[in-house]
Amino acid sequence: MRRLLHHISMMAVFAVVWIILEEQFSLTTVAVGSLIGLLTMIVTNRYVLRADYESDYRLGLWVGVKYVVSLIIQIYVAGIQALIKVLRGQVHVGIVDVHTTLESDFHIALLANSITLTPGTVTLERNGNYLKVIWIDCVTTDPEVAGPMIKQNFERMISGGKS
Amino acid sequence: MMAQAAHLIGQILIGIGLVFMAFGIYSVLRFRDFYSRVVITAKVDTVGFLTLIFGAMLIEGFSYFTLKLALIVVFELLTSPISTHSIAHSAYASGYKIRKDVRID
Repeated sequence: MRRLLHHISMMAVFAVVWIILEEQFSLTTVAVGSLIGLLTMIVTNRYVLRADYESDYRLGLWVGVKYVVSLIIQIYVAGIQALIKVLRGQVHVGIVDVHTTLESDFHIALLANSITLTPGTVTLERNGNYLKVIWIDCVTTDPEVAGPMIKQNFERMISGGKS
Repeated sequence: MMAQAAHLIGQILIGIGLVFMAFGIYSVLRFRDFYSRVVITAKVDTVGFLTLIFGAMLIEGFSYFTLKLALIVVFELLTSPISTHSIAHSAYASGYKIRKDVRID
């Protein structure tokens, strides 16, 4: 049941993308869009991932929307802070290890992406559950202290508010 | 009247985006250290691009074109950090060290 629901919601997303690309909303475009979405999922499952689509890309629709909105706000904060840094010219670069409790590869990739986009940090490398992060004003190199300052609330948001 | 105001605000937003991008280029020239260059330019460029796209959305109003721009924003959010990450990772893998004295020109 859960599996079917996931497939239907992914199909709806694909159909919406198809309608936007076709630039018209009619019964034909909806039908063709859903069909192509279904075909895409089948091909991806069988030939690209060689596994289940929904176990690899598990992210609720609502969580995704909230994530994108808060990411855009954080990007603006980051950009303005970076401008101030450029004008002042004071940086103190350091490399920190950050521990994450997320488990699936997809979620860790999302977390690394959001770390790269938020203020003053870029992800360098992943080592199991540890991410190596460049931090532009490195206050501390202690992973326990630096972790919450770098991750902010993205970890909780990506995992759907469960942990 | 409303359409004209939206048009004006959109053009101002596009201008702000271009200013952000210009600062991105300036920061490459200003910092000496490779890592600080990567960190700063990644941020500033993304902000400039997003502001530019939002300006174009305001000018166009609500249409399929705007929705296509929204799709572009989503793909930008997914791919921009990946490119930054791969540049930084290749520098780290080939053994760049952090400079102790980050001199500013």
